[in-house]
Amino acid sequence: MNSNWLAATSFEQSMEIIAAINELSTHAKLKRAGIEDGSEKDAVVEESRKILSAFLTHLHQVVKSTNGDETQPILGTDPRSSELVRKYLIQAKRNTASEGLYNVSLNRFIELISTNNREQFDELIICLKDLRELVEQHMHGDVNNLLGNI
Amino acid sequence: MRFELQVQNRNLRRDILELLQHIEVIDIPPELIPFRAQLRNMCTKMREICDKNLKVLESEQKTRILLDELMSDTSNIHIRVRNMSDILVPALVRNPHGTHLSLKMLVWIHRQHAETEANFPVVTDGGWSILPSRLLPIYYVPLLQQRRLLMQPLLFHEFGHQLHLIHKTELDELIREFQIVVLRKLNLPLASNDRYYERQLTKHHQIALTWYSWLAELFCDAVGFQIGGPCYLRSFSFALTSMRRDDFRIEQEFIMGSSHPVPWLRVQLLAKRAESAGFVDIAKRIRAVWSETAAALNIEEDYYGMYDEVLEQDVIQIIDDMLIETNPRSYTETELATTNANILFSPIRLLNKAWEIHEAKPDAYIEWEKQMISQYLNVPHEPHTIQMFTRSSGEEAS
Repeated sequence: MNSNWLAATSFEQSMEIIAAINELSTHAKLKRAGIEDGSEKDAVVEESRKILSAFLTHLHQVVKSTNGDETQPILGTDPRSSELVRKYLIQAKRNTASEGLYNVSLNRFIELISTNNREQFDELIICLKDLRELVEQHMHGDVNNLLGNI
Repeated sequence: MRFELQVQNRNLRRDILELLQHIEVIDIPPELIPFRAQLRNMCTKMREICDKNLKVLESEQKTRILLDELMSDTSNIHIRVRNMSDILVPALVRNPHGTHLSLKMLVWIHRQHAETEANFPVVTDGGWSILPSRLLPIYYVPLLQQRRLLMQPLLFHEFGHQLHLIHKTELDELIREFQIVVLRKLNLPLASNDRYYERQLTKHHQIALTWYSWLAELFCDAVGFQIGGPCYLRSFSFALTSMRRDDFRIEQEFIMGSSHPVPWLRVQLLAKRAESAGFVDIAKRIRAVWSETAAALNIEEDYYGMYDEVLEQDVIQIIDDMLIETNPRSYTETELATTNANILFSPIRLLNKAWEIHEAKPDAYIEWEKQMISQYLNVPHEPHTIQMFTRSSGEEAS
């Protein structure tokens, strides 16, 4: 009866989110460059949007409950997800000059997720890049827990 | 970078094809066919991502535009291949027939719940635990228990973690409500600027946060009991007793942030649940065994502020709410009948009967268990058999 179930749950979620970020980011970058992405990709992009919207909505709720203070206990959230929220809050304080994730509200980011407006793609792409970095760093702990280090 | 990425993706593609070979050549029991199909499906998707990456990498322009995504996708496939090679594929190929007993019971319990019907489990060697997953949950069962009945009910506790994953949003909200109660009932001293207050506040926060994992485990204990009935209480109490001080008290420096509640507390709460369900004698007996052991070790209960009787009703209530939310299958009267008819009618009946025989006729138990396992494993997994194992038909059979 160990507690690797937490790492496994977090790992699966992170993998799903990163895959969704890459799909949507690829789609936006190719559109921005005027390169055809292929109509068969539409369903995958829509699914990625759903996954990211759900994740960001939840993140937004939890972040709101902390009042921006990463030292507050995060209730009703498993220890790994709390860790991710704390990382986000710390980064948001450090990266005040950033143009991406830490300088737009999460509500705005959620709006951007569903945009098809090419003029908003720059903003979307940079937010997705920051989110990918955040989730990849976070996932590192789960990978170490589950698969170990060489 | 483009060349490096091409090499990486080609190598990963080759690894994936080799993993597919491992998956295909192994002889497996029929219950593992869906798990193998799911693994095959995942490998195919991974290979498609490698192919897609290699296609993008043919173009210098696309590579320049999508470099971040290519690197991230490649890195993720790398991790997925490691996960396949280190955990998932070995879980399938290690000894698929050796773990057949636990697997058959798990397939049965997964099929009893609409929301887990499509999560195809596998069982492999290890201490009792689970890596829950919406796709491929892995259950770990100790080697010594794989061909025995008495500890199999512990699988239902692990299944509780799978239910937690599926109902995470709702359960986390209930846990949050409970954490607020904990903070309220801890009687935090009035705010001041002194260091004592700061220390107390930190401690109270740690207590509330530790309760996340504690409640998750207590919920799984309750799931185990709801599914298995008395056989679960017996297995659980037996599994947790190692006659060590740690079973009764976790020292202060380790209790904060601990992943599991103190075993004695778990047994007491479970005994209370059993008592409420009408199993008064067995609950009393188990409580007595633990109290006597504690007395012999000269240990008194102390949870260093993590738990107090004032929380008992709240703990029971929140777990009841978590059970209502997840609705695990409950044992039936028929499954607890003391007659010897239709023992193979359901795994729950078999496991409860096993404990009954083990206590009433210990000398004859080993032979009885051997015969029962052999017969149980031969019950075919035909649709009509699965139907026979369902709740409604179970009631009819009585």
